[in-house]
Amino acid sequence: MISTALLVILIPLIAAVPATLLRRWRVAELGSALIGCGLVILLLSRPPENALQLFGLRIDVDAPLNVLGRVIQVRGSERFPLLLLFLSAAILFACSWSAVQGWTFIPVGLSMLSVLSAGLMIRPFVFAALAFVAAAAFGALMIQAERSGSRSTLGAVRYLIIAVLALPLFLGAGYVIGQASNVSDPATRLETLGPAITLLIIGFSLLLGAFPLFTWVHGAAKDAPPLATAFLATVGNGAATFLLLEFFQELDWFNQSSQISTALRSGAVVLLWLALLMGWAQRSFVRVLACALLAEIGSTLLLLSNNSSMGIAAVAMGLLARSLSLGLLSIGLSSLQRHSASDAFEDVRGLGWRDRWMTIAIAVGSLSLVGVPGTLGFAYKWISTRATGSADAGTMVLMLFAALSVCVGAARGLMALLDRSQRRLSTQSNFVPSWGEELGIIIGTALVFVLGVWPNVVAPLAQAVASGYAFYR
Amino acid sequence: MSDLVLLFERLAQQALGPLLIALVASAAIVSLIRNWRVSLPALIIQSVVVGVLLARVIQPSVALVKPLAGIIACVTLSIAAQRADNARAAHGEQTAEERIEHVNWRSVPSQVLLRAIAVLIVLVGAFGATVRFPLPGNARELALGAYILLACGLFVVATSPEGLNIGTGLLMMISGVEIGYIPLEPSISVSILLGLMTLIVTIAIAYLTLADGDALTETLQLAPALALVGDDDEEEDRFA
Repeated sequence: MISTALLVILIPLIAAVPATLLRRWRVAELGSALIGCGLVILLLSRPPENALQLFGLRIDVDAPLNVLGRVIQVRGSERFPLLLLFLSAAILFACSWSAVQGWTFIPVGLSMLSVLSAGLMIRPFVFAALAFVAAAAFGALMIQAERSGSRSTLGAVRYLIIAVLALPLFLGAGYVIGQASNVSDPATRLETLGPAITLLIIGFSLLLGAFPLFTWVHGAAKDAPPLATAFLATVGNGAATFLLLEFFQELDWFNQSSQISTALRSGAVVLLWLALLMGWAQRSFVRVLACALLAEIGSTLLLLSNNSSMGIAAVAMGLLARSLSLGLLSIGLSSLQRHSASDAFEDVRGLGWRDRWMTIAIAVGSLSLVGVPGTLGFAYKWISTRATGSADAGTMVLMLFAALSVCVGAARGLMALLDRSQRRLSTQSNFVPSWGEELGIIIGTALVFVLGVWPNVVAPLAQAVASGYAFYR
Repeated sequence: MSDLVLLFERLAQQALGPLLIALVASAAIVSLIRNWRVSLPALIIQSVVVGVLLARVIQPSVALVKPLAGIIACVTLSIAAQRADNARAAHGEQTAEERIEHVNWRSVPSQVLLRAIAVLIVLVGAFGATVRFPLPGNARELALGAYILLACGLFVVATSPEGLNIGTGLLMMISGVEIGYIPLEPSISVSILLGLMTLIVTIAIAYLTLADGDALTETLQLAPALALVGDDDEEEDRFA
């Protein structure tokens, strides 16, 4: 009998080998990544009661795997979150066909995916912290890509530092939880668990990029290739979000703590205010992207504080919408970086007329990211609004205004791109997009609009993620 | 191997004072001197000392994982740092060796003095934290070591601009986590997983060191030997 958990960890690692060796043959590099993700998605999409027989071997979805006395297992609540993470990663890997991001993106992305999956499945939870630090090391490689030079490592180093800072907090919390399990009196037990709650709040804030403000989000958005930023913001942050949900699922005292919901809500409000105040005033695309990510992290924290089925479904929907929107936006930004050394609005005036596919990718990607009606992002915003509106109308309005502020920033960028007065200057650029890039943009744009009009196609997956958790019932 | 384990056991039981002094000295050297030719050997000594200290609470054969991982990490980092230095020398910049041979007596004393004062404050803070917030478990000497390494690591991370120095700070912090946590959960799996994590973090730091020293391009030119298909033009078109 083979455990699916083992395959979920091994398949991306195995796929990373041909992706590295055949990296100059883009079809093989991308093909191995997509096949790897596809196989894991297929394995996870099977119901736990239907074991798969392959070459005489029985593959059980929920069979535990023991490594050095620790249990790694695909539990009921983890099956669809893992599937969603692999689906999001596959979308972003597919986007790299249109926007090459350096040799680190696919092999390192697959390794990161493997380590994050192990982090989500391993028990006790403290070992997840080790996996997340290892994943952050891979993330740092991805942020750095092939750039070099003095001060070029700022974003990567920040990302790594934040994860290492979170490590002692999780380990400390793990020890306190272990000690509290020996206490039988409920009141004393809750008192013993007090430090664990504080440590976990700070640890998760660091992992999710919510605290301290301006940590890795702006650094990574500025330094990393656009798709690498998208990968960290969707897969990396998505894994941290699902880890938090697993804590909610398995630890009643954590789920019922008022400190947690207060911290989540406070973090959300601060991040949303920050995005609201800064989004509209940004002068470059990567900074608008960073503000959009702050707003997204804020919205996610708000939904998590909501403690409802619809809130979790919105988080799952948001992950999928973000991967598609950010993927498309990243294709556009990668093209923009080839036209111009800087992506400041002043430096890209009129470039949109030279490469209309790039403009379409940036426009559709950014508008979907902020949730303009008709796009997939709007479907996510709609569910988020419904989930938060009933409980907290004020913060819901703040969430919408933060999105509007980022939308204004993106619109200013698009206006600069389409500045007719600079149109002649822009034709001096000699970069011509390939058919592959055009095809990628067409498919991405079509998906954003089609899924925006018919969100019911992906909604069942979001609902399946939510139904896996029982803590809110 | 058994002799080494025995030596670890003896040192752990009988040389606590010198071990703690060596730990403080190595942490102070890494914090004060931002030159890899000095800081990486100090980091190797530190990982050996941490391993010996861990042998007080776990099996000495398991405690060997720490110095082993530490030595591999430091050797990896020194190779990356040497390549970065070569790239710097090609650009006409000063290398780590030259900075030792030709010390800039105008700026170095003031920098070191400032750092020395800061490190002294950090060490006093770490000692205070050991008394005020004692870590659980019976090994107070390990708690002191953990606080010293965490505080000095944080100091290096907060005050260094280069990837390599920040990396040494991070490795020092991870050592602090190990020495603080392993007495609480003295299992083989924790030691091995922490060692593995140290190595993965080291790979990232080595890569960032190469990038910082502008040596990444040089390294990547060697890498296509692995690639099976493709042409040079395609490689040049990749993200720059």
